[in-house]
Order: sequence, then structure tokens, then C-alpha cells
Amino acid sequence: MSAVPAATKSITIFKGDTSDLKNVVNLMEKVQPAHFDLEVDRIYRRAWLPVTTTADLPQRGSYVGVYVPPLKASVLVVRGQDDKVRAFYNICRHRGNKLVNDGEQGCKLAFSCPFHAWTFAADGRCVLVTDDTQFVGLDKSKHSLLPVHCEVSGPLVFVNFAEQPKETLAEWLGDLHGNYGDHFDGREQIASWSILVKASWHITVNAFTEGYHSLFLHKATLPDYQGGSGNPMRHRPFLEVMQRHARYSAKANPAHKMTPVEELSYNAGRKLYPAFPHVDTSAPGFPAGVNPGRVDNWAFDITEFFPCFVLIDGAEWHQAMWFWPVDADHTEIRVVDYAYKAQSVGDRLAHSYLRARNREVFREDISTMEAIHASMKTGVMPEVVLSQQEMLLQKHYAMVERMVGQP
Amino acid sequence: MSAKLPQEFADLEVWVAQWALPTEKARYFWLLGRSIDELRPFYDAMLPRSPQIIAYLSKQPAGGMTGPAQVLYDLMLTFVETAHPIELKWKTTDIETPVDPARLQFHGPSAARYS
Repeated sequence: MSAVPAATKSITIFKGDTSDLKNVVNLMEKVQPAHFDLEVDRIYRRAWLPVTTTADLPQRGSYVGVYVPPLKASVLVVRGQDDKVRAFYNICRHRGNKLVNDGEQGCKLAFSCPFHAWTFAADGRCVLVTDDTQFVGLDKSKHSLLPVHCEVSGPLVFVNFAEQPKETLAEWLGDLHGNYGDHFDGREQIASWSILVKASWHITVNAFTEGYHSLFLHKATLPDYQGGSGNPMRHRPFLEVMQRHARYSAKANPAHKMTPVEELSYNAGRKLYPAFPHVDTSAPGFPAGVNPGRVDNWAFDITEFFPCFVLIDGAEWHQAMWFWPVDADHTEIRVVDYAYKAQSVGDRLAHSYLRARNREVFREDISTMEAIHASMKTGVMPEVVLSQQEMLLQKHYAMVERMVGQP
Repeated sequence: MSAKLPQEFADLEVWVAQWALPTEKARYFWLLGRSIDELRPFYDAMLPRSPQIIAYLSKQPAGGMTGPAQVLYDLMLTFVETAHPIELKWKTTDIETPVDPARLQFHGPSAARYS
């Protein structure tokens, strides 16, 4: 299949090597259980996977318990007393009970197993075996928590389940590494939702990595936030494919009309989605990873961190989205919205408006997934066709084929 | 025990029992259980009072509200989180979707009191 020809009649500036992209993709074969088994072995056991954010690990001792469905593994991610973020299998080294619950967040000096109170420090060392004289020949130092490779980049904490990762995180991320500056600092969680959908993880990721649908699927929830007379089809002004990942920027509609409660909430706090404040992203020192194409009337960026994480980032907010494959037919979607830290009641109103409006948009995005999955399972339409505006999907499948093709 | 608003908002007292809700989750499912015709009177009552409510709440300690101020805060957040069906001119209080909203799970700040 040839390289994708340059788009015509579009404001889009394309960047990156598109030579491995295809605009016709066999989706049916990628939703089959046998393909899924290969994906677990060749993608999920090899990739650097974001599991949480630095915003959720604000201080020494902060921790989160994260279940990673494709690996069927529970991970404890903790910021140590030395400020280093580490990940461990969430498994007590005595008899294998979980030290923290999946989804749990908090701050602790040490992790004590609820079963027999074996206790582990934030760096993984076993620091207490209760009634230890009853263990014959036990060497505590050999029962540290089992580590998982863990590194931080920008706002995200990544793990890698390979025995020895083939690439460093910096290599894996390419230009996505080290280019966010302090953009995400000082944010707090304002909403968190999850849902289990009966659809392949591919289909769920795909729902969030193109803006083509927004004019149609979101007509009731986002009638005018993008587009406008200069860009009626809401083309992406900037779209970039990288070695493994891909991203685009969206442009605000200068004619967006705030509703009365949108206006009063955002006047009380700061302007958030679906209204977009003017930000001078060309100012010296503005992080290169935010509005990477330096488009004017910038609204937000969407980045697919291959394989299953999508970051949506705006001026004062961002949304972290995990699309965790459970099996070939099920995906657990976890969404966490963050915004600038509230200092006043007005900020809380702004946050509340954002999360309610955004939740409805998110639910619309979910609405297509199970239908598409069911369609693919019929087998009557193996291939889907993708536009230039859906180039992130093209990149997603090029990466799937590349990694699944590597024994 | 009936919750009370600050005295100057006594005109909104009638909404407190059902609409002064503590979490995003509670507000959302309350909204979904209402018709547009049930939602509209609440919207119409709250919108013109919003500037005074914001002015009043802004004098309270953020994150440390109690008593009548807390009730007013909950009522205002319910207003902010339930206004969109009216303002976007929906025919119902929910989007048109085949996905049952009860499938959505709420965590962290979506399930807890937000203050």
C-alpha cells in the first residue's frame, strides 16, 4: 500500500513519516481472540505503559494501586522517601495477598499486608515480618517487593513488564519525552469515571483520536466549540505521526457562544472546555509539547501514547484516558479529568461545569463502540476506510501490525 | 432535619430537600430521573440568583464550608452540573445514546463531596 497522498482543501499541516500508513485497515482480523493473544505478548508485555500521573503522587509516600488488565497484574506505584517513583507487583511476599486495593490512592510511610502484617517500605524492602522467630531460615532481605520497571515522563508514570525493556522510556516516547515543561504542574483531579464496554480496545482508542466525528456525534453537546466559518468540517490544524505515537491539535471556534451557566461558571473561575482562553503558546519558554504546531486559536491537543493511552490537554485542564484491554471483546475505560488547583468557590464552579459537560461528551463517544465491535464480529465487512483526518488511527494500526509482526 | 439556606436565600429553600446534592454522581442520577419540564423551574429559579450566590459563597472559606453555606454550595453545584440540558435545548435530560448511564462508575472527586 502506498504512502498517503497529501490532503487537499484542508487547513491541516501534516508532519512526520506517513510511509507505513494505510487508509484501508482490516479491523475484523484485529478483534479476534487469537490476534488479542499476540497483542498481549508482543505489545503489552513490551511497551512502556502509562499507569498513573504525577499529579496523583504529589508527595513522598503517595501511592496508587493500579490493575493492569492485559497483564492481569496489580501494581503498586509509590513515591519513595527519596522522591523516586517506583512500581512493584502488588503482592505481599509472604503468601501473595494484595497490599493495597486496586484503584486505591493515599499516602503511607510503609505498606502493611492486612493478612499477617508483613510490612514493606516505599522502596520495596521488607521491613517487618511479624512473629519472625517462627519462620525457619527466613532472610527478610530476600523478600523485598517484586519490582516492575518504572519511569516518569512529564505528567505520566510508565511501567514496563518486560524482563529487560528493549528501549528506554525516552527512546520509546521520542519527541513526547521531555517537552511538557511545567505545563501539568499544580493540577488536581476534578472527575474520575470508568466503564466496561463490550468492544475491542482498538475501537475504544479510535473513538478519541480523530475530530472528524465531533461535528456529527457531538452536535447536541458541542454545537460550536470547534469549526466555524473558516473551518466548517473542523479539520485538525496540525497532525503529526511519530515513530510510535501520534498527536493532533484542535482549533477553537472564535465564534463559540458560551451558554449562560458556562459563562457564569468560567467568569467565576477560569475558562475551560468547551470555551478556550487565548494562550500565547509562541511565547519564549512555552513547552514545545503543548500546541506543538503552534496553531493560532489553539483549543487542545490529543495524543495517542501507543498502545492504549490518550492524553487530551488544554490550557488549564487535561484528561487522562486509559483503554485497558480485558480480553478481545472487552475494554475497561478509565478517565480522569484534571484542572488547575482550585483556590476559590468560583474555581470549583468552573471545574464542576467542565466535568458535567465533558461527561456527556464522553458518553456520546462510548455510544459507537459496542456497535462497531458487533459489526466487526459479523465478519461481513472486514475493512474500514480512514480519511486523512483519521491519520492517528492509521498510525495506530501501523504500530499494531509492526509490533505484532515481531516474534 | 431540614437543611436551611442562609437567610437571604430563603426564596430558594423550596429546592433544598431534593436539589442540594453532595456529589457529581448524586446530581447526575437525580438529573437523569427528571424530565426537562421538571428541570426547567429549578434552572429558572437559580439562574437570576447566581450572581448573589457566587458573591456570598466567595466570602466563605473554600474547602471549609459548613451549615447553611454548605447547603447553598451544594445547591449551586447541582445547578451548574444540571444546566446543560436546558441551555443546549435538549428534549430530555439525557443525551441520545444506547449506553445505559447506570453502567458508568464514579470514582474519586466524582463520587465524593467536592469542597
